[in-house]
Amino acid sequence: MALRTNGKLSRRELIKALSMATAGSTALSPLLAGCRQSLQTPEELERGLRRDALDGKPKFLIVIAAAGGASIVDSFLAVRASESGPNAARINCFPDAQVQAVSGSPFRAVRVDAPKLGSIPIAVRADQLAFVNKYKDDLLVATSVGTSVNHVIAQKRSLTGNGAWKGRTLQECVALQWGQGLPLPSVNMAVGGYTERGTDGSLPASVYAEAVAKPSLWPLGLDGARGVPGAPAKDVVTLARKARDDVDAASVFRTTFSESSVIKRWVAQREETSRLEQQDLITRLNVIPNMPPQIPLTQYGLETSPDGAALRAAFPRFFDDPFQGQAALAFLLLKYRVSAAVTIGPDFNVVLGGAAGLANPPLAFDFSHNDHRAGQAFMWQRILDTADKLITLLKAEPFDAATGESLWDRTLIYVATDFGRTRSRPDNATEFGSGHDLNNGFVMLSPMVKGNTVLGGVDASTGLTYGFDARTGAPQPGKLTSNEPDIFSGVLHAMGADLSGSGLPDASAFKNA
Amino acid sequence: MRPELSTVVVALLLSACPPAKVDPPPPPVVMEQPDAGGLARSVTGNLRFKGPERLNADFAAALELQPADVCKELGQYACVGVHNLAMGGVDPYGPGVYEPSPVTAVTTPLVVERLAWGACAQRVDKDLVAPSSAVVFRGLPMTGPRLTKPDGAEVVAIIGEMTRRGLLREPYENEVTRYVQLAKDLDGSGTAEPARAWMVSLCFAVLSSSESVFY
Amino acid sequence: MDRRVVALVIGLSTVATAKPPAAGVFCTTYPTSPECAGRQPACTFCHVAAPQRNVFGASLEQRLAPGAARPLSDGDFAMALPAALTAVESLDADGDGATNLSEIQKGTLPADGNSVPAASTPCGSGTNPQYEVCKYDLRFVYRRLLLDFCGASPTFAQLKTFKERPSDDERRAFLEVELDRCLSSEFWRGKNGQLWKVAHPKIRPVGSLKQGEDPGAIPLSDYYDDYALFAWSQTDDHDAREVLTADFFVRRLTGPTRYEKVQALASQKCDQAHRAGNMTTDWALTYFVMFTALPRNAASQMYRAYLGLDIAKQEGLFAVPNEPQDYDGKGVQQAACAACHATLDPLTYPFRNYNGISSAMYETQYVPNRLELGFRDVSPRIGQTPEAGFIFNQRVANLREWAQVAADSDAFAIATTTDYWKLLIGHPPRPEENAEFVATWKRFKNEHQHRVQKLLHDLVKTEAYGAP
Repeated sequence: MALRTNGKLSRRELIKALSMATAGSTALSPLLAGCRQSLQTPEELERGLRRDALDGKPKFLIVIAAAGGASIVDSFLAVRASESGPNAARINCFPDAQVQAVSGSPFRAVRVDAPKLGSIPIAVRADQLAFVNKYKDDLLVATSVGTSVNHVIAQKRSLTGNGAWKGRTLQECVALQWGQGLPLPSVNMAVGGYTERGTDGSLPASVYAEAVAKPSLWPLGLDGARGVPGAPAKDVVTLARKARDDVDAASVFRTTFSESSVIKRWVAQREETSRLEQQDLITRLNVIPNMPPQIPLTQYGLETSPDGAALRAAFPRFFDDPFQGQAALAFLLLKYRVSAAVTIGPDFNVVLGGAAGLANPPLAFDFSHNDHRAGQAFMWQRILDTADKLITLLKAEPFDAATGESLWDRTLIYVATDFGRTRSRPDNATEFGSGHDLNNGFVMLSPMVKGNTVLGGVDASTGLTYGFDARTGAPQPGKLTSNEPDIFSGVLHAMGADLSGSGLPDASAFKNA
Repeated sequence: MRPELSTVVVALLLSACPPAKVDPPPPPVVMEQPDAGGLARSVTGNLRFKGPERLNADFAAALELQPADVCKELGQYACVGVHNLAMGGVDPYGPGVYEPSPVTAVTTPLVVERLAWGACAQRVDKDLVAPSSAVVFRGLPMTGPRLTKPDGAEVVAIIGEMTRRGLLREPYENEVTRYVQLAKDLDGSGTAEPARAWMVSLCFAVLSSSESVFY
Repeated sequence: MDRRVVALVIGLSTVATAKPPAAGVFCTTYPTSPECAGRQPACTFCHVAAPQRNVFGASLEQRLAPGAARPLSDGDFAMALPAALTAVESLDADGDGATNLSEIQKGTLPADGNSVPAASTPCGSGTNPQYEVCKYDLRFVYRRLLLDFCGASPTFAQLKTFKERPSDDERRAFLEVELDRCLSSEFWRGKNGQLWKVAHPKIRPVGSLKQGEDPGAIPLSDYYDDYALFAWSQTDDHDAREVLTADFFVRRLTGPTRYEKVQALASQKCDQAHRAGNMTTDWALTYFVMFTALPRNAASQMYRAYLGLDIAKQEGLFAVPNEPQDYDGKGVQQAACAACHATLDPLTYPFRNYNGISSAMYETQYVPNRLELGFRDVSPRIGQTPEAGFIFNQRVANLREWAQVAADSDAFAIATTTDYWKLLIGHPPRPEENAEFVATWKRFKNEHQHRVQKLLHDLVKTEAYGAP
């Protein structure tokens, strides 16, 4: 349908629309459904939508998939008991002292000191204040209402805006916009619905994410022969590949199945292998150290990344805490311009270790079913600690010597999550379980977002967030309807993506002017 | 390549004891290459990628290796375990990947190659170290590290053997021609051990071909 | 449409009395549509998320009783829908080049531009020394069968011997024998074998919570029992329905792998009278019920895993009148929620007495009056939650009845067949494979009395499987 691809009606569509209008149809045909916004957007705004996309330099998206349901009222929009009136005992609000104000900022920072984490006998000591103080100027929180309380469905919708742009995920949009020409435009290390592809079949295969389960060992597969015992030298490999490809191309098998999508994809992927190898990613992305006999890199002709030592210092548990390993790899994927979109996030498995003896509780944020308050505090701390380390690395990494930009200047971190949590609790309980709730908010971190900003707000008497006008940012108390497309559009607006023809709502309020 | 093993191989080849004579494989029944224009083609494209377990099993069977020994990263970690997802496997207990990807990944061709190189290097080196009990690469006349006759009947026999083991059929004439050419190219390439390089490369080319990895 | 037919569709159909009854009317109008072969179209056929319509639904709405006051009654809606459907048959709502009618007839989605009937490409002429393209190729099948079920290719010699058998009949007979041999292999039925692969998305293990063999960091439950029952139900001459209806357990023995039926396991706590296969195992109750009062997650997961109906994707919606009641006070009566919860909540009621891990004393057991005993504070009406519920709009008194209705349904047969279609052919059934698929699942349910082994013998004989 031409309108969706180039913003214009084809002649056939125009005649059809006009005939329906003549016949008394009160609305333009369903051909235009979802495209109305782009027709009505003022021309100057349309131009503005394209402006950033033309600077020709890549931008990067890191999605931190906060699996299980990260509650915004247990972090930056927390509610004090004194604000909740007669409902205070029965809704999820905190003793006033635990909700810290942040000077000059609309954000709150929660402090929790719990003797145990549900039935797990480890203490939880979490304090969000340092993080908020450090990053408030790059921090935006947008309230939200989702449409599913099913983990997998909701996870995916947090990335697609519930089909806001033909079912594309944010990562696919970013890979399409800034990832073309990169070796692996999108890499996904998360779980569940966060790994699902979008449903826009018109996209090139290159934008779909490469799945990675073992971030510390995955780089070993980025060269077809290096490090394999007995594999020949590069010149022999090249001759062998050439012979194989020549025979393959002329084979009865290949000719018989020449129209198979499976074979076409395979051939195209095989043609890319040399390009991947030329970038020496088996070295550059390799965080693991040479540590014989368990990791005898040198013995097999391999090396650790030039950044390996720094990353191991930042993420000391990179090998046995998957989330740390993912964050380390995410940094390298951006630094070496391998990817434009990277997705990381804790999974539902228990991870032992760390100062508390536990790095990840079972079910991640969904542990809130068992102990909401301590579980949320624990997991928010985990997310924020990792984000802090990542941002520190990105800030220290130059992007453009001419402009002085760092990688951080060109990166947006979007903390996706499934949904919020229910607000009710037994009277004055500090240890209680919560269920899934559509009402929540999302966190974005970037110099590209309108920093130190809350879009929407919280009704302290219920603990529920209310919405906002995505274009102006004006809060809309009482607005409790779904705004998934606004969040989706907001991320892309902030990054300055070319949204022409998308039909997305105007989410200018998210963008740093 | 681990230099110490290569040195052992060369030393053995050049040793004073002549190798026991081992018969080469039977000559292949080379098939005439059909004309591509007249070839009936599939319209359904009914093919699937083998995945980690089948690839490992087939490579092991073709080269008479133990499945656990086919390929190990850093000499210790089974390649099909390390690269499980890239090869189309599942990982249900850890990251919760309950279903395999319906399509091959960008890195899948690379990890398939790693598996093939690992398996082929093992088989070639075993056959060269103990030619009297060679399984695949047997009866191949060599002059030091070179093939005595890169276009000889024994070379053609090995091409046939490898094709039968890897692709379950006899080779076509263009395949024989091309792999003989590979032998000549390697012989003239300046590589230190062109005979070994050819054996490993032939094995790699057959096992990592699309006909081998899809079914 | 005749009002009597409308009444029949709304009141008496055992399959499709949704509210509104769109799906049933659709199938009465297009009985041969692949969407209607033993099932009914999901709400997403016309809707984005009910009541919001997609492009196809929007085009229908304009022609649905034009001028009549909204909202339409169920009866008026059902009367008007067939004419609206007919009126849009020649249109192309999603602009993919295929008319709405052709998409309905061929089983693609008229609201999705990416779903379009495959152009029927005639088989090219020519010869092929290796493949019998466009027809069932026994040599192709032999290699595929061994790879699929035994995990490795035949050897050159084996393939040569196969080709040299005197006739196609003998080759076919040999394939039957080979299939039976491979169905006993470790690759097929052993730990982490192919049957376990089919089971992973149903059981959804979490390694760090594993108890028993291969324990995790916080051992809570042993889901290998679930895999054992699943594998048992899919092998030999066993009835696949027992994965839902079994009142027994299965133990896995090794060296080689065998699955043995037992009446009790130390790792399982549910009493025999209340067992319902893999729906009431220690793991299922630990993970899918966990701390919840009304375990909607458990019900929706079983509906999805064993019946192939994902309520979160608006599939299998059979809204029950006067539901949802929202006994647990979650706010599900709101319009945006009720569309699904009118099905989901009554589907969940029979789970009400199956405890998760909210109480150490009653962990993963059936507890009469569980909600009254342990969840009084959840909401004032929590104790009013009935144990009786509905599945496919059929009333069931308890979970064992739920399991029986589910296991006997077409949906179960379709879902089981789909599992193996995906595993062995590589994708869910495509529109052009629909005729073979329907024949296969119907034989599985009827002639083969839910024996998966026989289903597999049928499946490997399809052109979808065996024609290159």
